Amino acid sequence: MKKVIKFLIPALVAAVTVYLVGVSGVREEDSATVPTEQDYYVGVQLVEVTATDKDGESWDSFNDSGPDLYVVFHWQGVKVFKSSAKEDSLIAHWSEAEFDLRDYALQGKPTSIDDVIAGARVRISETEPLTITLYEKDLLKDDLIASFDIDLTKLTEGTHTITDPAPSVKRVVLRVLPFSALPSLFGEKKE
Amino acid sequence: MPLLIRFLLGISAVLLGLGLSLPVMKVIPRLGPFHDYFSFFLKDLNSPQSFSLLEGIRTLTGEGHYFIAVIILIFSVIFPLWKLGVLWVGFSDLIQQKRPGRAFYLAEKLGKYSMVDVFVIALLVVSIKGLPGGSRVVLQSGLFFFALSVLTVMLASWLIEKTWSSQSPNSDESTNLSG
Repeated sequence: MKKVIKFLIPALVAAVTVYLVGVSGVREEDSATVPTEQDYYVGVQLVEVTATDKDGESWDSFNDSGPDLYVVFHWQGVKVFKSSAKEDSLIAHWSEAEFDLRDYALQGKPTSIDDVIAGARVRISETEPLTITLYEKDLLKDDLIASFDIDLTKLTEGTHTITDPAPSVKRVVLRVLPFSALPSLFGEKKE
Repeated sequence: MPLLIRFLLGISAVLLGLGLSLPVMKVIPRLGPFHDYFSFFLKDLNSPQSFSLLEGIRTLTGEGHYFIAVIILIFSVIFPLWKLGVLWVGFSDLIQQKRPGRAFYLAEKLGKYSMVDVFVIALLVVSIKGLPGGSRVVLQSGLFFFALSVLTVMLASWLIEKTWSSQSPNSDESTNLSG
C-alpha cells in the first residue's frame, strides 16, 4: 500500500500541474484581446433574446410572433452602423456582408468590398466604448429592447460572445476583424 | 545527492504536467494569395489554433481516431508517469538498501521510448510546413516543457545509477541502468 502511494506521487504532482494550468488561464493565448489604437471592423453576427420582453409580456401585442430585431452601433456619440431587421426571431443572425442588389443593378452604384461589410469601423480605445442598441422594428415606432456599452479593448479577434448584457438579451455575438483582413485582390488599399 | 534526485524527479513531474497541458504547437492557416479575400468570410482563417497533447488526444478520440489517440496516450501520458512512479519507488528502495523491483530495470531500459512522441511531433511539423498556401506550424512552450521533462528524468536516472554504483560497486545490475 505504501509503495502504491509512493508510485502515485509523481502522477499526482503532474495532475496538480495540469489542473493549475487549466484554472490559471495561461491557455488564453489564442483569444488574446485586440491591440489598442488599431482600426477594426466590428459587426453583429447574432443576437438572442428571451421569449418575452423585459416586462414578461409577449413581443408582439397583436399575435404570438417574435420580435423583428435590428441593431445600431454608436461610437463617440455617432451612429456608425445599423443592421437590417430580422423578422420574427428570438435568435437573429446576420451575414458578414450585406447589400441591396437593386441599388447596384438599377442605380449603378460602384461595388466595393468595404461598402458591403456589415459592420462599423472603429478604433480600439480605452476611452471610447461602443454602444450597442437593440431595437424591435414596429409599424409606428420602433421599440427599444436594450442598450449597453462594451469596452472595445476587451474584444477578441474573430468572434466575441457577450452573455446576458442586458435584461431580455441572452447573448450577443460580435465579429471583430482588423482592417488588414480586407481583400486586396481587387485593388483595395490595405492600411 | 538523494535530495537532488528527488528534486529532479519532482521537477520532471511538474514539467510533464506543463508539457501535457500547455500547447505544443500553433497552426497558422494561410490560403496563399487568396488568404485576405477568404479570411474575411471564413473567420477561422484569422484564428491560429493551439493544441496541447491532452487536447490532441481528446480531439482524436472525439473524431474516432482511437488507435492514434491510444498510442499517443500511452507514449506521452501513461509511460512517462509510470516511469516517474517506478523511479520514485525504486529510488526509495535503493536508499533503504533494498533491492528495487523488476519494473525499475524495465523503466530504465524503456527510457528511450519517452522521446517517441517528440519525434512524432517533429515529423508532423516538418510535414505541415510543406503545405501549400503558407500555412505554418509554430512550436509552443508545451513541447519544450515535455522535452525538458524527458531530459530531467534521464538525468535523474543517470544520477541514480551513479549513486547506486558507488554504494554497491560489485553489483552486476549497477551497470547499464540508464538504458
